[in-house]
Amino acid sequence: MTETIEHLTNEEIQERYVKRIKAFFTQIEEWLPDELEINDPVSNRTITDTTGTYQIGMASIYKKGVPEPDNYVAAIFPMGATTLLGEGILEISGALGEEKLIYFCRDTLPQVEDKLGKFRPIYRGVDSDGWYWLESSMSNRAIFVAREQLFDLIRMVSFYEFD
Amino acid sequence: MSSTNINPLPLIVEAFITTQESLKAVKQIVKNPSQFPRSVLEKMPNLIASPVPKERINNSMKEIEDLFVLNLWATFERWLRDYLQDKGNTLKTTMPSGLGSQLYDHFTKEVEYWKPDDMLDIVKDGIFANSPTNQQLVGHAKQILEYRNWIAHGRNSRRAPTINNIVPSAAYQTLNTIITLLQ
Repeated sequence: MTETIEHLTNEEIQERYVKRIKAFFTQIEEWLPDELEINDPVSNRTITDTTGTYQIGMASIYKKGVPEPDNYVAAIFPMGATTLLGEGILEISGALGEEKLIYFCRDTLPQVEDKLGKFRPIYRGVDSDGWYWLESSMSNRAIFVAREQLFDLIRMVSFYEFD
Repeated sequence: MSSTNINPLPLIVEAFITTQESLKAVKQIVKNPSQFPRSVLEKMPNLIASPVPKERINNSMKEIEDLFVLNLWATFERWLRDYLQDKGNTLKTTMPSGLGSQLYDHFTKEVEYWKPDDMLDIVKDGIFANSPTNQQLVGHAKQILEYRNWIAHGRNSRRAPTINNIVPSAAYQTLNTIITLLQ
């Protein structure tokens, strides 16, 4: 468990997680091209994790002007405020599969002390706080999810192709 | 060369990635079966005959993630047992010599019954005694063990683990790092 989590109450951890998810949805809305939209996270999803049971919104990405169900591209499901090595987890899911993102903070990411006494973070590439994708199960590089990476993820889990 | 010089986890993760990617490819096939030759479809009679092939693949994907964590843990635990047995080799030099070999044989047998949690404590309080940073890693390994026990015993909702969401690659990264530090 990270140091930050130890100092927060369960409710505070949940609030922080909800805030981070909402901020991510807002960011996605700004990133999406004109032909796509993300709905307002209205449907409430019940999460049970170490911090307790609570409600949180999930959101879906749709093609504008296309009738249901062909308009569906992908959905973003919050999965929990606690996860191994990170401070929250969510899933991007589409017709082809799903990928999980972890919230990493630069200051609370677990470190490793090597045999020479040198310290390094367990994952490389965590330069700022945010949602990260663990590209390959073999690699120790975490990929910060900005606009381009989100599009890559949408491509991977769905049949949608960006221009 | 001792068996603990070889890290067995990359092979497990390779098998996992192969299965994961294969399932993704099969999902493409069941989505548009008419685009594929009969010879391909004949290789998957059960799946093609299913009214809900995509759901079956989705369920399998979730299942193999959990199986991967179970397998990863079992392989890590075996490696750690071998490692500790190997470290007990020095018992053989105990004098008088007859006693040394008896002590070693007994120790090796006993290690097979040690609880995983206790073995992790030996690593934490022994090998990593001077590194609070690496001790924290052992704490994360304990979270994986708890999760493993929870999955293996049918996900009892009254005995939920400390962490009930584990990304398989994060479990691999944690256990692999510990092995690398001990080697």
